[in-house]
Amino acid sequence: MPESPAVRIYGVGNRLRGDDGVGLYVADRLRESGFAATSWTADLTGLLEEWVGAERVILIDAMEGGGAPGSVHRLQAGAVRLEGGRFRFSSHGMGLAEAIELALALGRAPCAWEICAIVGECFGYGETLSPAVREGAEALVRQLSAEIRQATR
Amino acid sequence: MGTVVATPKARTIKVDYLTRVEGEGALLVKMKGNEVQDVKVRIFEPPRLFEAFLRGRHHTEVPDITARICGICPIAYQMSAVHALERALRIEIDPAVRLLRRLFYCGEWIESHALHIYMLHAPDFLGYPDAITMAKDHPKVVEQALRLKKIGNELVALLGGREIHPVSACVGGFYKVPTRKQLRAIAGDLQWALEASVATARFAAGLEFPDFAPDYEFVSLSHPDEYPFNEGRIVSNKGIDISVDRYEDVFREVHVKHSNALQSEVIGRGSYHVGPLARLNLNFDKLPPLAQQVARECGVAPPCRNPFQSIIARAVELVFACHEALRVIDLYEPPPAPRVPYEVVGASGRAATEAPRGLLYHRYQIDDRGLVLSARIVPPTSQNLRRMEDDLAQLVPTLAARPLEEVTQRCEQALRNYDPCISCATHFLKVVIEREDA
Repeated sequence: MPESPAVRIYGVGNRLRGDDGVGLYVADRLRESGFAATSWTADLTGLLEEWVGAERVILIDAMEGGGAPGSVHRLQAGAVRLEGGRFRFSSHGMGLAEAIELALALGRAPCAWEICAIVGECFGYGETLSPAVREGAEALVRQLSAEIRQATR
Repeated sequence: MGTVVATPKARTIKVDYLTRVEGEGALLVKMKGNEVQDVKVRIFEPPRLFEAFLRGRHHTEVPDITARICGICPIAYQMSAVHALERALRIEIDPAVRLLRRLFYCGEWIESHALHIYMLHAPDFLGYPDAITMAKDHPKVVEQALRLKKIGNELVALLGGREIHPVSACVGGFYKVPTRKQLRAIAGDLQWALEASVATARFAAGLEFPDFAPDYEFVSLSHPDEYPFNEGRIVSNKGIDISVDRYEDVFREVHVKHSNALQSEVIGRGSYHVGPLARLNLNFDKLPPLAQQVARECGVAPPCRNPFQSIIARAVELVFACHEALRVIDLYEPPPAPRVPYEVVGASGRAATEAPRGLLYHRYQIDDRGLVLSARIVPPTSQNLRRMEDDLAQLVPTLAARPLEEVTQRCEQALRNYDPCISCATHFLKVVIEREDA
């Protein structure tokens, strides 16, 4: 199983809200392809402890707006200012941007992290991804798979 | 986000989107001079229609469906649901299951109260816009909050299968129960949590509180032997003492134009207050000695009517929940079976349990196939909504000399005293269609 233990991959989101499940979908697909990836459905503040020891963390989530549905934005730590409203904010806890900001405030952010944000189209009730979003997700799976294979050579 | 409009004679406080509350709501206060002319807590979170789509579902699905009303307090919905259905079907649960359900609720109180005290409410008292900004100056405080919440979540996951929308609670008991060894494995963390809870109460007691103490009608469950979770009569400090079956004879819900959430009132009297401050005032003698001692030390021994001190009351309940969790874990022996068998008959039943935010009432009617004919769910935030508006109507005149920005912030803080869960409150909307003939 090709994997880079120093790299942790987490897909986050809500499988029951359409394209908000795309982060979990990408993590599922990476695992199917033999890579270590976690579909994180618990409280996001738990990530602050989960990623301790990781050299690099990749977080995958849906985002609202910011381009055509299915387009992927790879946001590197320090290169972009996160806006909490760009991600689907769960009214029952912190969103991803807030969790990262909290990690930075507490000095608990990983050495290197990036967010792979896939622009969603439909966030209503349902378990199906929009076709364009699924296509974008599959492209990201291929991209990340190639990067991990390259890193583990 | 909010705007303030001030003229020499009239002032309007308008907060378009309440922050650090669960769900979507807004606030409007209109003043003329020192007189409050109008207060509206406007809930624009879309109605979620649970009572409607429960109809026709099998009663065994009710705990899992109602758990989806809220991600912070799913156990409260599951507990009110299973107890109402068990009363309908005359099911007697095993004493060990009864204990486990108290432990389950302890987990939810710990994670919900820790989240609210530190991440939602403390920023108000310390002058921060949010917990993230607060974390930069008070990292140890926030670290403690996160660890407390994690322990609560772990306890919920241990009993419920997962921490969000747990899957183990069912009519008659649980689908699966933990072993004694599994529970004992978390005792060490809970011991830390108990000490951290006492520190939390002392931290909260050190905050500054405005002088404000309305004449509340506090309402909660009351049990002869224990601080209430799942059982008891419904009582108030103004004479209510009824079985849960009479809830709808004494309390009613009212639909107001400015809100998608119904508001509750005591019939013939008006608003009332549910939640930690109500529970503390009505059940103080049922707290364990340690929690009573902490409450006295921190200035919230009854009578305590200052809603801003609810942050301390919540912390005292954290002490109680950790203490109770350790007590239950020490006593626990697994039941002979995780759930009891029962016969399905057409029946109706009611129950109320104490969600972190207060009394949560459920009523169900099922047919002889076990299908739901009707459902009624009254969440604590709905019950507090009118009281929240009444609080603001009384509070704002006392702040008349202050700058409007400060008044606005204080109003939001006053709403956060109730730890409102707006997603819970918008479970119902009655739709009336008026058709004009051609």
